[in-house]
Amino acid sequence: MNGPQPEPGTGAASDPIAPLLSARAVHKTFGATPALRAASLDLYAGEVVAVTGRSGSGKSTLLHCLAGVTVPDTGTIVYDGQRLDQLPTDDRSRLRRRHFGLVLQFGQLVPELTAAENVAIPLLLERRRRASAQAAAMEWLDRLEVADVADARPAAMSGGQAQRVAIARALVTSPRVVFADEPTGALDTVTGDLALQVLLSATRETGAALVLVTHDNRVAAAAEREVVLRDGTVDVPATAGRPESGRP
Amino acid sequence: MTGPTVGPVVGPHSGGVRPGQIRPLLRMVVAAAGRGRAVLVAATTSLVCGLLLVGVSIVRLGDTPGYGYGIGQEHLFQPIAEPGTRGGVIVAIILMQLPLLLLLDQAVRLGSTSRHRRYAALAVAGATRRDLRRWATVEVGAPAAVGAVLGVPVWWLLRQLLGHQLADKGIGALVPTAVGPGPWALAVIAAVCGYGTWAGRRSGSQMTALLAASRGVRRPPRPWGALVIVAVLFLFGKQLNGSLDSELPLFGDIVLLAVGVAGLAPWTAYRVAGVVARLARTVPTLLAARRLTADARPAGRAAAAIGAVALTIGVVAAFTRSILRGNWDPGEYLVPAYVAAACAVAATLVIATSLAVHSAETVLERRREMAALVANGVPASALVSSQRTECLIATVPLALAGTLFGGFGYGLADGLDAVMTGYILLATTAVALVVVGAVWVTTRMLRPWVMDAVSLEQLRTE
Repeated sequence: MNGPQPEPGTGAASDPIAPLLSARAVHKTFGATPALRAASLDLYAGEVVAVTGRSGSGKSTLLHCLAGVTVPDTGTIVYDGQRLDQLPTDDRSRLRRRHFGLVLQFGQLVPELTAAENVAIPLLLERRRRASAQAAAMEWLDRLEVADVADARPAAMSGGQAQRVAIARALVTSPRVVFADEPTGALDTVTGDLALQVLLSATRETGAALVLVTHDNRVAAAAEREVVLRDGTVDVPATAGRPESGRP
Repeated sequence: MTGPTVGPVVGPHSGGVRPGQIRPLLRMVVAAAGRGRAVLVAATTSLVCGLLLVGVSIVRLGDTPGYGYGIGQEHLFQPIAEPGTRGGVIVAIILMQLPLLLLLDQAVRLGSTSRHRRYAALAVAGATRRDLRRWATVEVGAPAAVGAVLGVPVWWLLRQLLGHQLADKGIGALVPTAVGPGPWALAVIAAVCGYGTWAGRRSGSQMTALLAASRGVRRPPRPWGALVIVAVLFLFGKQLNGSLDSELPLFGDIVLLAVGVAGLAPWTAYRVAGVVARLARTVPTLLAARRLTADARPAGRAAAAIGAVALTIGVVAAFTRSILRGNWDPGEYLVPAYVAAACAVAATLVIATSLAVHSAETVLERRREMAALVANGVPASALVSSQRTECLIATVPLALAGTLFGGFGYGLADGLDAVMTGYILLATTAVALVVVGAVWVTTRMLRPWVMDAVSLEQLRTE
């Protein structure tokens, strides 16, 4: 549709000051309900941003637009110099697989697969050999301290374990951006804190940027920057303050 | 992820829902079940009942003077008019019930996740297991009863189309027109009603067992069908050593063999899928194989029906060679054999459809998990491909085994030669192609629903 697209990471991206991911004046409507109205956000390499707001404010929709899961009605999403919103579906799938990782509220692991198989899926799609994919999955499960459930199916795991496995699945391809939609929303306080720490330390290790959608103030406090959404519009300037400091 | 959270299945009142509440609640539960399942159950049972009534009519020909030697009061199709081959026709009608019963089984399971949630909610609200089983029985039993009664018009329609019409054209009636099921019709209707009720009750029991079980884990299937097959082979050996005065024991063996294969098939599908899962190198194969190992029963039953169909085609292939090398009139024997083969191919399509519907429903049940996979970069087409692979893993091994077993089994009894071997191998290839084609067509037809189910809209939080 749009001709061959350059692989991200080779274009304008190399400019260290340019944002890695940038949304500009994004509109998205579901039926007659507007979810996003001219929302804008810049995300820089390696930073942690919390997107907060009340229920229905458009947090998840913004995250989905940034991740290329949803295409905005109008506005632009640029990732590493490339118009994400103009990419064909298959190219967006490929890009998500190679450059992004997604963690959702309930983990959403495939119930029939073991933990190791769930984590290995993105690698198998990249035509890695089964043994190699499985080994990489085991490495991540081990790093996130859930290697003991590698052969278990999600039904046999606790909520916290399942969420760690989901984090491992999101990180196994060494993504440059990790999106987490209410990653602690389905967990109790202690387990949620642990999952959050795991997510923060794992992305810190890999140098990935992290976008956290949350309504939990404690989770938002763990971020370097907070973007507040109100009725589909960014309430706090989206481009304000590129982080200079390290992570918490 | 962790399956539905279920509260106590047994409520605080040992009697469950009080009698005064049962009628409005029952109405509400049945209404919530949706019309799709009810229509499919009624349609399937009406076909089963209609075909059984045809079978009973054919059985009753034997008691009717003038039909014993093909000089009847009407022009019947040769294998029906001939008392020697009539038993085979009846067995064929019984085997034709297999895909229909399979479809009924699939219809009963339709929307099982939403039903599971609904029943879990009712259990939390205080309904007992007994209440749930009763509602499940009514949900399936009532449309099955309606379908059983509708079987009479179906039989009448079949008699008009495949009886009078074919007789008038000089082809020969496939459905007797002068002899009907008579009072046996009531027994057939009652039996079909009973089966529908049993199927509903069984689904209710499975549902309540799942509600009580730890996070809905299912037990792997057992190879009990192997016992039946061994017993049949033993009996067959005994019969061969003795004198065969009647074909009835042989037909009994065939029906028992079909039961044995049906019983063994889920276990076979489970084992084959386990091996495939260990060796899988691609995501569609891994997903397909793991789905099968998680619940091999529905796919296994479909595979059993495919195996029975393939067995028929294998026998027909060997039989064709047997007739062609003998001094018999090929037209007299081969036309019925080819009619049976055509029915078998049609049955394959029905079975493949039911299997593909089951597979699609599995994806629909897991729509959020599947959408999450797509969000993480798995192409939606890989999920459709996994659905196709799942159907193929379940059916192709049994289709090949059935054709080879039927063909070479008949060949060994009747004199296997190189040409017959060629016929059997040709039939095996044809069966494999038909099964693959049927799976491809049916999964292609269901693709829009699957693609819609895994759309990223499913990720939106309520």
